[in-house]
Amino acid sequence: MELYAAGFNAWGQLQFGKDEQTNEEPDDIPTFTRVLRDDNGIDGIHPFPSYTIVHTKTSGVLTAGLIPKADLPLTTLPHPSYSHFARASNGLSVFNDTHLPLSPLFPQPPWTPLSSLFPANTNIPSTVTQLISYTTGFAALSTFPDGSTQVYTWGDERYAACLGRDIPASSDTNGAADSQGETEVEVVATTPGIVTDLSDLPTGPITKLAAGGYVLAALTAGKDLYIWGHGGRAAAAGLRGLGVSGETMPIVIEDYDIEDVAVGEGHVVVLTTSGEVFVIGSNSNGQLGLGQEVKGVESWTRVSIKSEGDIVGVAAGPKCSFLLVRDTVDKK
Amino acid sequence: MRNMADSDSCDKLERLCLSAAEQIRSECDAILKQNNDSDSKNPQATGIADCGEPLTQLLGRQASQFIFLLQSRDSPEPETVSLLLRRLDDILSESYSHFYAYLFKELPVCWRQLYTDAVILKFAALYLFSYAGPAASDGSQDTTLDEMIKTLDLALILAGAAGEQRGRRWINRALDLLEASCNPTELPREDTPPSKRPRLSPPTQEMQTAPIQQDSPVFSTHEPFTPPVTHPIRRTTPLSLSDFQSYMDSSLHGPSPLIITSLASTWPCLTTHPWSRPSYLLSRTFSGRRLVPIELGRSYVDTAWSQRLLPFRSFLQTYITSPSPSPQTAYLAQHQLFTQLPALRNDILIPDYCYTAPPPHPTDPSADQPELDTPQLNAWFGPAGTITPLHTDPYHNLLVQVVGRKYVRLYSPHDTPRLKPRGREGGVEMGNTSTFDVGIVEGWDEPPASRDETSPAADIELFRDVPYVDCILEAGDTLYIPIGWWHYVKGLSVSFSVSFWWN
Repeated sequence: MELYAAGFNAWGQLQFGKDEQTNEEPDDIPTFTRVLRDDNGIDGIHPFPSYTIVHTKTSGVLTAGLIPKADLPLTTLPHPSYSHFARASNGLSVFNDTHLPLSPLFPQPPWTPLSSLFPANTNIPSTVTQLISYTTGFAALSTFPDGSTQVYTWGDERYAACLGRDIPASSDTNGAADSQGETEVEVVATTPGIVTDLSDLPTGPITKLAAGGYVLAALTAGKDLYIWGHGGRAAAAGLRGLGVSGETMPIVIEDYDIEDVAVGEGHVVVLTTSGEVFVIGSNSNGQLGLGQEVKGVESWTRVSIKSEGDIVGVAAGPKCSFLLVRDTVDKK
Repeated sequence: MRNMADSDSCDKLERLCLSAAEQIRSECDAILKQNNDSDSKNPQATGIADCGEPLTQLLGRQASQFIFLLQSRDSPEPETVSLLLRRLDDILSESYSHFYAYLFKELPVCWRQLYTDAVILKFAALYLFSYAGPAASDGSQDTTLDEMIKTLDLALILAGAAGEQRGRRWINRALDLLEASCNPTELPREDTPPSKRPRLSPPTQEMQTAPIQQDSPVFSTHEPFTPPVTHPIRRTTPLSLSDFQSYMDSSLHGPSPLIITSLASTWPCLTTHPWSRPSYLLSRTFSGRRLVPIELGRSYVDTAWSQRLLPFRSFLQTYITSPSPSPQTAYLAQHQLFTQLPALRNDILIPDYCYTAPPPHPTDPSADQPELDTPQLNAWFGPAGTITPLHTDPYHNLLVQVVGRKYVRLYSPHDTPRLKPRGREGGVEMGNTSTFDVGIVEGWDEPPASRDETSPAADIELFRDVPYVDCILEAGDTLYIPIGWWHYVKGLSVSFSVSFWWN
């Protein structure tokens, strides 16, 4: 397998196996460039703002960039654990204590146990298979034994569109609900609430969530992609072309089915089932792989790489992107 | 190349830039060293430490790089300078994103300081590696000069120029030196003391006899619309401090609004340093290059309303002095302009009344704020037709009219429930703003097409019954707005007012 990367590289977070201390200021990587290769395979790519952790079959855990001292213990976690903790940019951090131990890794504060956000009499946290963050909040994917899923969101009420669900109007908070036909109870912004629009989709349950900046995305088992978020902040970050709102919106890219999705602070990367990569949003640091001259794109734009292999996965940090490639060696 | 006359300012500015970079480098090094030495986080860690190790390292690296480039013999490669500037922009964008992620009052100060320090380094890099002085014949240096001034103003306006070692003091000093280097022949900035002579003639004549800029044009006094004053507020000549204190304490229900005439008529802004002249205001804003925050749209409750940062000259030319009507109303509103532009601060005085002990809120003790150390000053400058919707503030207010005329209507805090305050809207507390729009109820304004809610006709009839007082403020008038009084303000002509909040 090969890992290709493009984008923000101020801490060398796209350069594996490079000595940390050099006098050269590391520059960004403006086109998708191979940064890693492992003949036996790559299990997971975990981009953080200043570093990247990659789990490989041959060499185990590889890191690139500057890992803050406080984060060093996180690098000891096995690959699946990265789906169970998330940090927003407003000082809030959540970890799923039903999957991860209440250990010194997650001191409280700043970490909040996921179970403390749900009523005590529910087992929902233990069904959460993926916990992610956007700038001012969180989303959790809950997968039930029968294969059905629910998506929960919670966060700052000022950016309620990122929740993808209704929240009680301010006047309702004090008094009782006045409409008698209402059976759904709207959950306040800062408490996990179900994104009902994603509960019963024509192409099946949700298989993956992705988020960054003020934009969230969900993939269905039937290879459809839904995106929602705060239009104003998304536009400010370079994603004007996406036209997101608080309504979950199916994304149509020609006739393609969508295999994978990654969301950065101001860009989105999509992999189709036929192995094509489409990008949209800000290219301020080369994160779309479109070179140094392009500042960004407002419509889905295809990017290609110089590899004969098949692209099988995508990942994104705030201002960088990764493509996972199964090369010809893997195919044999 | 810079000429001889301004070389002193240039040298001083270069030394200022170098010493800031050295400070930043050593502060970042100290934070990183402390981070490595001790396992427990030092509770005394200050500055940008809370922005985390990676950003501290990145900023420190750029400071080192700047110093290295400045001290090398050869002028730096353009690619090296470009990467330095891009990395500083990366730090600016990262810190700025936190301004939105947090409520502003909860934003950790480290993000404002990180922004400010990155601005200081960016200014320094632009000044020393991109800028060749104000005299380039092709005008290209004007662009760099605009960029340098804009960079510093962003730190003042967006980040409050945080930081104890440098911060606002550094930025003001850099702007003074930069301006001096551009205008070596300009007269010293020391201001002549304001004239103490009493007003003998109408304000317009007095301005014509001002010692400077006698023949430069004044703002238009044209009034497209003048609303009738139906319940005039009492007007008085200046009261003594003790009389004003007695006035505020005279009623158990709290004081009423009062107009004090000629309190401000001898201030420099109305006499020797006339704010009524565009040329004077331009001379105090780095030839109009300084950035100011502008509100665009009819009223801040409309959905089409927005905010922008514009160079002062563009604001004047596009929205104030343009002979053709502008598509939108633009208002420099509720901005702490005098903190940003200390030169204009010298043109006004703080009324002695701001040092009295005013009574608390008459109906709602929860509205009372912690005592302000100094009165809070805001500037309100815009064309005819600006509107501040009916709202209430948590301070006593002296609204001083400096240029043009404004209509003000006030409602008592005892009638608050009848004014139907808004609630929380989109996570933002709007309870200090009424759902009623005075201009629309009175038929003075067209309701905006985008307006999402209008009050039912029956409610509007009830609103019409709520008693009020009103007035038209003339240049030199001061309106005392007691705490909690709801007020609607409409600019009738080009208008410049200053508000003083105190408690």
